[in-house]
Amino acid sequence: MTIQAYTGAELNILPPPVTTGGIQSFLDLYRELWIAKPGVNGGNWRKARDVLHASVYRNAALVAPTANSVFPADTVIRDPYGIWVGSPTYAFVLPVAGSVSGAVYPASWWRFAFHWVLQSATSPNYVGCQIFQNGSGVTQDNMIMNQTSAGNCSARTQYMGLGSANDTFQAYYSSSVASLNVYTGPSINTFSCAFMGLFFG
Amino acid sequence: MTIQTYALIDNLPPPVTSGSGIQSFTDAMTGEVWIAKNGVYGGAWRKARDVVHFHTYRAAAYNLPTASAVIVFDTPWHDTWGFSAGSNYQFTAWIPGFYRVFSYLEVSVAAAGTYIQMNLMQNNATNWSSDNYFTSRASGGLCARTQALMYLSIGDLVNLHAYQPQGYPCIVSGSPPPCHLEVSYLGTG
Repeated sequence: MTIQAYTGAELNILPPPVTTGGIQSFLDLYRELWIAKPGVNGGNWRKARDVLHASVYRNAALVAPTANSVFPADTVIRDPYGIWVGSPTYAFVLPVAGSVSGAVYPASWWRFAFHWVLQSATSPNYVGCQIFQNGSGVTQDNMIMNQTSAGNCSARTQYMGLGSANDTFQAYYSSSVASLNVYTGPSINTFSCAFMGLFFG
Repeated sequence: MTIQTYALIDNLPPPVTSGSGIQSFTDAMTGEVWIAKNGVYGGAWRKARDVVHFHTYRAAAYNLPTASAVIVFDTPWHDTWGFSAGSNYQFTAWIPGFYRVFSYLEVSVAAAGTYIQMNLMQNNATNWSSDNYFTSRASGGLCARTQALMYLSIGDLVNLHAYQPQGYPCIVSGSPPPCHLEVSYLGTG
């Protein structure tokens, strides 16, 4: 009699790695959501809660607008599955249908955070920041600069809410005083998103 | 010779079809915590890290208290499981563990030189955060926010205590309205 050895393949319930198409998803029988994308991690499946995170920032010089405007982040810090869409949209676009949409899992919990800094050469001043979902504001925040000499003024906002396939999330910013520069660079301004879990709504 | 087939390992308890309240189960194989509730998704078990997220906001006109007191939110948002509790719509922990908690307030000011003080609290007794935001402006919005990583036991309440010396009105317009409390379960700790 030979003793059978198990390789673990018996328990591998995932589909084979993907080689064509965009981001694809798979909900296993333990209700874990997996995603895969050709060319990312060899097309192998990864848990959505492990890998659906992304962060971007503005690196090039930028003048803050007085009107509430989309924050034009131009550099990706980490976005393995390519959910950030740059110019001219400047948005996180939630993965396509099949990952967080459909009859089984129509929406998911996501968390977004945006932070930016104004190089203020005048005071008083205040800066605004918001997160928009599909063109409508879902958060708002501002920070007021009270000191009488020049300095920096930072603002931040965050959102934990539901998102569906193809929803767009954008950061908005403004300054009450015109022609002031944004403090640019990865540690100074960031816009990030994180998959938090399935809603099962 | 027959080829043996394997059933997928499913060691979850059967769906919950009686009783009230949220029940939990820790999967011994993976350590994953699951919750179930009679009448929610047919009583089927769901991963706590997927579904234990809570967002409640203030939709009706409301003036902040002038001395520290619990903030009365009035609308739980997508609260399928009923995490909200009591007339203040605070959060109730049905499983122990680490939770990320955040809250935001905004009022319209009518005079210069005022502030908002806010604290995230456990069971109306233990402070987990303290934040204070000041404005020199005589009009416009005064925004404040606070956050904490809290460790909660079963039955613990999470709420926001705050005050604003003049008792200015909260901003309640928007979809969702901006003044809110949010809680996310992160893991067992």
